[in-house]
Amino acid sequence: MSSNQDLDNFVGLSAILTGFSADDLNPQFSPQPVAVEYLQTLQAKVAAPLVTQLLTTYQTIAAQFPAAEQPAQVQVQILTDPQMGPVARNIIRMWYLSIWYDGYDTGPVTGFSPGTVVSSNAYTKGLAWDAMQAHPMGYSEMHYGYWATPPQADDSTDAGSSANGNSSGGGQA
Amino acid sequence: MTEQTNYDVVIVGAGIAGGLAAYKLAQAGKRVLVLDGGPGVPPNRGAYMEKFYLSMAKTPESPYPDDPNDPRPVVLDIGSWQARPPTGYLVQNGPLPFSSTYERVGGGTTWHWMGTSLRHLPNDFHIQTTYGHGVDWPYGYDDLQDWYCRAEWEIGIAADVDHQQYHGLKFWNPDDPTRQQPYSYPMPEILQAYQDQVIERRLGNITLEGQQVTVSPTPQARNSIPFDDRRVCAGNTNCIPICPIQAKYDASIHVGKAQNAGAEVWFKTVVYSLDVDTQTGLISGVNYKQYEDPAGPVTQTGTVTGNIYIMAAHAIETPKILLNSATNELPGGVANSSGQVGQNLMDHPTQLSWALMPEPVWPYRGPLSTSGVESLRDGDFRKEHAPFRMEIGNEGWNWAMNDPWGSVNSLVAGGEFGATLRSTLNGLFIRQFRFGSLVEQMPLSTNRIVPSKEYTDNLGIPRPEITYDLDPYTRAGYAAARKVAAQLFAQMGATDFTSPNMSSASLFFYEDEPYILNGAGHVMGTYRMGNDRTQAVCDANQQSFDHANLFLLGSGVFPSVGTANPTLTIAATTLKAVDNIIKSVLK
Amino acid sequence: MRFSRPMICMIILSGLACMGGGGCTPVQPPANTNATPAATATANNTSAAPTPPPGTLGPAIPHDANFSDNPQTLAAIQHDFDVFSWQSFVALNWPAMPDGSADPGKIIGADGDGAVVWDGYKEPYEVFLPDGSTPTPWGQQQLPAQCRNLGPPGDKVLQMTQKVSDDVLDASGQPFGTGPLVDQQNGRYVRYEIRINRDTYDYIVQNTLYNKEGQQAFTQLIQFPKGTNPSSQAPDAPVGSIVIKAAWKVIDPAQGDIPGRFHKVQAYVYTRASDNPPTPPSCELKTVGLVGFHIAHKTASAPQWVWSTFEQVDNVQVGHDAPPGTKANFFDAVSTYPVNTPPPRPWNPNAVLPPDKRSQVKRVIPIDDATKALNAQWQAWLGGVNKDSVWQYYELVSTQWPTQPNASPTGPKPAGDPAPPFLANATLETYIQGNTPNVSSSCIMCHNNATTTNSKFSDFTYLLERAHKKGGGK
Repeated sequence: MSSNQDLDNFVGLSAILTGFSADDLNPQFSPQPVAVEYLQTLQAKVAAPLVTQLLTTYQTIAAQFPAAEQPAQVQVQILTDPQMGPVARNIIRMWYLSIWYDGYDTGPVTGFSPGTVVSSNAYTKGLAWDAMQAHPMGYSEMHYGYWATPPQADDSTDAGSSANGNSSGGGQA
Repeated sequence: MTEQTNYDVVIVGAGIAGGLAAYKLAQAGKRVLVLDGGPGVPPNRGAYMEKFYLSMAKTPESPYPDDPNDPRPVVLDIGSWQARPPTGYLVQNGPLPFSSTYERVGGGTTWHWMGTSLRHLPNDFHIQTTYGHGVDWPYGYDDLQDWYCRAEWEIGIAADVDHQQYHGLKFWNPDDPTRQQPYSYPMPEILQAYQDQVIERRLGNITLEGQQVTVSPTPQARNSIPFDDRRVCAGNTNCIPICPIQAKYDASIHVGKAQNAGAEVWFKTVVYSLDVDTQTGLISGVNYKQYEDPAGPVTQTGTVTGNIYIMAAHAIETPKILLNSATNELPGGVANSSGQVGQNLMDHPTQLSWALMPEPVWPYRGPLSTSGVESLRDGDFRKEHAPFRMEIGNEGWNWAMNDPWGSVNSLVAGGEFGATLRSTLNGLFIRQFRFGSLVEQMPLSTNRIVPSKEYTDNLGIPRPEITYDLDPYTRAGYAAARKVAAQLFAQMGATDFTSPNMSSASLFFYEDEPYILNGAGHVMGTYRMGNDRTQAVCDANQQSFDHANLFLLGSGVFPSVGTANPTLTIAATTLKAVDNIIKSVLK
Repeated sequence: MRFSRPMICMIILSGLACMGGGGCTPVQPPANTNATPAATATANNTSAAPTPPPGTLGPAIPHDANFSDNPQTLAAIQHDFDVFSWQSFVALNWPAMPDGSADPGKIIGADGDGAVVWDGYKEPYEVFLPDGSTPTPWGQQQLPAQCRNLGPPGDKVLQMTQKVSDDVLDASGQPFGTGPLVDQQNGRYVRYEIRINRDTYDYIVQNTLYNKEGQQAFTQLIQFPKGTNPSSQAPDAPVGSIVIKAAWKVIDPAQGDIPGRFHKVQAYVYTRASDNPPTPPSCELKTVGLVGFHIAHKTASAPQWVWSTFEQVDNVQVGHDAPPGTKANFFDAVSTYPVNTPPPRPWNPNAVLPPDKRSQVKRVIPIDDATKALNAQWQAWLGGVNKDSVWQYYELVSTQWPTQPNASPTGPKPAGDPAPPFLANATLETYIQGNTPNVSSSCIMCHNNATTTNSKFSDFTYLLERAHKKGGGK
């Protein structure tokens, strides 16, 4: 599998795991694509055969099932699998909290479990903050007084949310 | 070695008290030297921010260096406060853990203060006389009013006077001796969070303990307009542990201004004792150890001398140094003929109550807090229980439940994923809300800090050993704060989720009900001022009763602590004390 | 005509036209997207003078980048913006006629160093007057009082081509009090000036944004004009708002400066009164050389503005074709002063620091290889015009642009995910270089925090916070 295929599969699987679109997870022209950092973290922390099994399982699901049925298949084939399930849940945590938690495959993980923040770039792109329609504590791009009114959706990034699992972002020469 | 020096003033500590004092004294043409144990103010806050981003636990201390030669307490120590040898810097005897922390870096603890800049209330200055509890200050609100104004302009406070005139607070132009001319804060008030508006609307008309409950915009040391070459607040929601863009004031600003005005500052210079001339009773030198590598050996020990000495090392390190200066002639330590040095350690024990609102309030946005309920800071009930101010947090359940880390992990562990996970989290997070009620703590002679006889730090200096408890009056205030929070939640239709963790190392009881002790980060009371030299360490000018050339700055001088966050009062009392030094002492 | 990138972006983002459109699928670029001809990869004046494509060195300020037909990748678009930066640099530094406009009969550097186009732009002190009154009209200048009695500076001209300037260098510190920069040759503070073009000036004046009352009364979103490249449909498309920030060091050949490597002017070095440290107002005439040059340009493809930054090639290390003995402007290998650290306080703008306290600057993020290759090409072209041209001794550090230009200014991510994410000029953001989000120098991220005096978002310029009250006062 080429590394681009790995990234495509990782982003496609991540989109189903997180509930965010592939374009949200890996926007075109991103100068610091966090998807690449997360895939590298996954590959550094988890044995290669298991990573390959995870990504090929997803690839097969994506090829065999229409988009609407893929989440259920991911649940059945990946999240309930004793090997792949814990890895997939740690991928969700990584996307939401920018942390790779240690011990994810041996016991319960809580907000106080040990782990590693993937990078400062990753911290600023944690999905938990998007899920709450706020911003990472310590990193906001909004302007003075924004807090006095309810948040606005960001049309520029949300409008393209239709799942496009095969978008190859990054695209650096 | 003793340096041949001719400083007018030697100041120990480069935080807000030391920084402001050095600035004012240097501007007045005095030769000033500041000694600080920590690393200097970095050229930019990149290293601090990077450490914050990469910290697993975003504690107040997380951005700052963990230097062995410059140790300080951190909140992560509290869970194991009983361990021996101690796992943290403080040696804690209990029965409750002292839960507030401080920083030992250039600029001090203002790096991670909230920026809340309330004045003490008039009645806070004479609670013994009015309510029969605590200790009166040696002066009243009217004596400090002008200095509050000047402190607000030095720091840069955003507030509107019209919204701050409660519980007898009066404001006038400090340059007007008739006290008639109006006063304005230097910046308009910070816009209140959307959530504050919802709370105000939902509270409607409610009266508790005889007080109409209202939501007030909080005076804040953050820019609502461009001020002092700093940007306006962008709502990074990170005042604690660190403002990324310095829209919030920190004392590195006055440390820099002091240096621009000619003050010398020596960093990585840890003061451990003072010398006293036994003939004159005057302080004759400051003893220090220097290091270069923050984990390396002492590179220099020495004594530096001046005409006037100012201790501004905050309310744990200052008494530690004074007590560590004990000699055969002064067995109780320096400035301690009253025996009060190190006693009366106080905090604002903070009662957290958290709830889900019945509608979205959009937390985790804006400064960490923009409003509070100030209604229960004063009233006749102070005869019965401690008063409290209710800070309205803008960070959802971040403090209360470690969110978003807590809820994301519990939902993922529960099997949620994908669109369901995202929408469940959204529904939860956008309705989260908490009160943090800061309770006035009473001074107790048994709540004290002494230099440990058993444990020393990396440089061989005794570590602070702390004995700490809450008195019944303070506990009653804590319980009242919890009860009021529950009443306000009910009034707003919010669902109360407050539940004490029964296995917490900070658990305590009042009338058989369990509570969790939280620190406010306010360390106060350990070298109090007063009129009676047998009951206080320094007088109303913050001059030591025992040593005429020794002055003490900071919240350690507070005889009682009210419910206002202490920094503004530290600044006001410092400006007042330094003005006296310039006009009457150094002349 | 080719498609401009924003049009393509909008199509992609709206999800309307991409379903069957092959052109929307990102494709890997050919390996040589950014390759430059080998002959131009090493710039020096000894090889045969290279000739750029006709019209490359021209006086026309591009109104926006031109996007190539190559597959659009991050690197390809970066290249297009970098070319835009060089074209802008050349056009702004084009020889000016007495009225300030570009002289079409001349070529940059051909006749030595002289008055250039951006000299005619307005400085903020002329726009945000202490009494909040209407600024002087475009084309007229009013010097600060301290500078008025210094007389015409003709006597001090060191070389006949040197321009007699009206530059007022009124700043000696870097953003937010991060500190001054001290040059290695003279031990003096680098001085700064800001200039705005006509479109920027007109927007401020027409909307009365030059005083506090006008800012208070202006209730719309502040939106400076965007540049759009002229086309047959829009032959008069505006150039858009341009703000220039320049850094200058004192030039003194007796102290080892090599004047032929700098664009020089005689400038009024103006020190404002200050009480910390106590400094009286003063003004003196000095020969100064350009060491840093920011161009911020609001364009249709970049509502977050395009941020181009140039430096003199000897800033942090000695650049190409330097005579023996040339020393870097801001680095000396034998100095022990800590790197990227401001000088010790007090920061007195008139200080002359001893050699062991002068600035030691290192570039934290190296110039990208593709940008280096482009620099070599343009430097060779400029040297080809005149082997003594000062302009060949400037280099582009990079160009920052928004990868998500359509981000709403009132949405959650208005900065538009800039590329590169961090960008610093060694002379202008010396002490905030690095890679830490929200702290390290990033033109767009920082200017995203800019406001008016009443904290309204001011469209990526801090200038509006300089406004005073009508009748005086802050």
